[in-house]
Amino acid sequence: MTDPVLDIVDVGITYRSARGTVDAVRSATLQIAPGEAVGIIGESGSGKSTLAYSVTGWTPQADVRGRIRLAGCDIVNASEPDLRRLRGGTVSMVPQDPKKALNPSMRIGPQVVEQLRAHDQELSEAEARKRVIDLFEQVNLPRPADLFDRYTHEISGGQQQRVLIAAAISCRPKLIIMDEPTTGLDVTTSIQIIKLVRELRQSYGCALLFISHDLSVVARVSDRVVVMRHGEIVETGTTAEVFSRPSHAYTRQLIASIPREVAESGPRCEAPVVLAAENIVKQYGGGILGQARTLTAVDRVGFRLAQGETLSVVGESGSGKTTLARIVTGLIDANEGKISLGNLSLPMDPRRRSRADRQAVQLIFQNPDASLNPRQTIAQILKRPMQLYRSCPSDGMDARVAELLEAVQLPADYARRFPSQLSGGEKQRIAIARAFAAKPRVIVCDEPTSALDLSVQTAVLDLLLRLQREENVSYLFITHDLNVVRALGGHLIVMKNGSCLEAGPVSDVFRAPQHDYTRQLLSAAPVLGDIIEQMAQALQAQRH
Amino acid sequence: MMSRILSDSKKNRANLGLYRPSFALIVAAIVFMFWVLAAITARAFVPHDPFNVRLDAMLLPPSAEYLFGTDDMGRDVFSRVLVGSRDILTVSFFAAIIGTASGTLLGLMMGYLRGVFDEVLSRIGEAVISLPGVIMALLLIAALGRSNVALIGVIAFEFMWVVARTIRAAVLLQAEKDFILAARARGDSAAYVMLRELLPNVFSVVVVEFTVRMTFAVFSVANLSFLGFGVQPPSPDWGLLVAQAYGLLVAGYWWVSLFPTLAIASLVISIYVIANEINRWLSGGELPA
Repeated sequence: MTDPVLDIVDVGITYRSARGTVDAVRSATLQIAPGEAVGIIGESGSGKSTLAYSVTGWTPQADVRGRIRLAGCDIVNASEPDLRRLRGGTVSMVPQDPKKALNPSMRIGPQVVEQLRAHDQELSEAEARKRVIDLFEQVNLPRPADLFDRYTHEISGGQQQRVLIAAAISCRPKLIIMDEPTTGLDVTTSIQIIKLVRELRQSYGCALLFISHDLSVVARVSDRVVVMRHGEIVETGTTAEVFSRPSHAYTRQLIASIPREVAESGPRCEAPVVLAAENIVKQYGGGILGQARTLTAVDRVGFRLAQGETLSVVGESGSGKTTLARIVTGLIDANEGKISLGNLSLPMDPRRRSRADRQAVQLIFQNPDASLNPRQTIAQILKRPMQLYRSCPSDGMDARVAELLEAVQLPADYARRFPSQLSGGEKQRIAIARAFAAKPRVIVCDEPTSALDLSVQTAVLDLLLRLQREENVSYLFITHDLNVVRALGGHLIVMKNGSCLEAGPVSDVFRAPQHDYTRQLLSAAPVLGDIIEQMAQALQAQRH
Repeated sequence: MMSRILSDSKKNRANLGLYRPSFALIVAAIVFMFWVLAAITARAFVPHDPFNVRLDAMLLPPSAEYLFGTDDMGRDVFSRVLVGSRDILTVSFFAAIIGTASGTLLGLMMGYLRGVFDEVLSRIGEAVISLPGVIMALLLIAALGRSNVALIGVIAFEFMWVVARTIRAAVLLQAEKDFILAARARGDSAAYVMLRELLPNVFSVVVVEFTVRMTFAVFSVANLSFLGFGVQPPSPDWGLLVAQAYGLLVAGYWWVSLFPTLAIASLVISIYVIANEINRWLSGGELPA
């Protein structure tokens, strides 16, 4: 066997801060052979990024113990000039958020030229330009010569990520580290990026260290998988082995937390419709004189939501799904259309909605860090809907708060805490409890799980489903994650560019999508079960 | 309220345990407390009656008997400076607190309600701020008459627009956050959202604004008194003392104007140092000098 590109032996990394030390990584051992792709899976705080960054020698305010050898060089004891030579040349990095990694005040091309120049000072202006345009072509950027002179904000997120990949491969490194390169992207864009990564690996033969919390992405790019938790590597193995026969309990839990079957959406046609929308149109811009371009965010969309049912609205960013949610909750007004709650139609002007109308439709936001007032205690937050809608007598409020906390499986003494003293998943439970505190008929959930870690996501989804059964509320569930839709069941509408492309029961749409775009979405987010099955078959074929 | 603001911010939680006040802050706090005590109690303790005219003791240089010397009417400068702290501190305090409170309310409304209300008031505010403060104060006092109440009102009015601008900017940062959307979606009134949801989140800015306004208020009162539009005689106000005595400088009687000038400087600087330190606690930034 050839020498590994990366050889990490018994590495521990400790962060020092004023408040003490944190062991981010504990005795990690990992080898990557030339040309091999290794994926690291773990939740936030598992130490996966810290470990990856330590390979480039970039661990400020941290003590690194153990041995890290990159292409034969000792990283732990390397001098800063040595590290600079290695970075970009031997190891390069694709960060998670391309918007932050690119300089907004510089044209795109010169930023990649910078990297080339750092390793080859002789390079002439014209030659560098040609090389960068070549690179842009290899990462399938449209009209590369044109793009060279554009600014970051003028290209899409997927294109920004391609630019960073181009920069990463520019000096033909032996190892590329990708830190959640698809996390900020839409499903269809991320599938293209994954395809590109696979192609580039074949043509360049470089090794890849791929960090992600998304199992289906890791399964598709890597040969081997490393599972990290609390700073420790709990499992390593080939992708097929790990996914088909996970040995560690945590890995099993991770894989089990991805729903494989469509949840049973029983025929509930007998349930009355609680919320219906017809021909909702929302346009932005236009101006008084009509000179500016108008943007139609929502274009004649309608739906019917039955009591105790879930309707998922699926779409990528910019599809108008959030705008639709805000119209339903009365945060913005629609230009046309009709919304009715039960038998009553709601006034077009959301400011004229009565308190009872508002009580009936509650909202859960995507990011629990922003949706809870940091200066209010949990008790104050939960009591507000009760005070506002008088849904609870004032002497019974404390009891109701305790009851709600119990319903979302949090200890009763959390009532006295501030949001900053809770974890992300706990905050989202509070946001859910606040929605239920109003005793609503419909809850609009705007991507309530997408800011959470995978295992927390599953718990929050389970909670939502249990509360739905108990309280018989309806969910209008906004999401881009088809796995979530699968777990929720019920009905589904697919939105793109403001219009509704497809609607129907989740199981029907998943089995036989009618529209090309739906098919594309479904293939972009494959069922992990399918992948595992394929892998298990491949493994068996190898054995025989 | 204060302790909650301090303990809520993560940055400060780490700092407070290890907090050591700087030397400058200790000195500033002592100086400031000295003037506050003087304002409250000096009348009872001063060695000489600050209003007692003694034609036999005119323009005596500093000595053991008269620490800061005497003025051209034989009054003890030391006693006058101590007693003179009362008006400037009272007027500055009320001007700063009224200006900050009204500016905070205005800023909350402008930042949350937006629209025409915000546009119109922003333009008015810009107009007020763009005029030299002293000129406008002179005009307003000329119209309202010279009194401490008018002085407080005029300074507070000018401060209100400055504070409103700062608070409006802080509110804009918060107003698009989801917890505000949540309050709007559930149908809470604008007053509830502004006072219960937004105000606690911008309160650290309000505290900093108040301390900064205090500095400027002392300055403004001293300035206007010097020009004859501020605190009125017979009060031994510092600005007045300087105004009455600076002509004597040419003749070599430096002590009559020097000590009230030093008093103004010490008060302004001590408040500024304290304000700066509070700002560092709350936002981690230095004030512009």
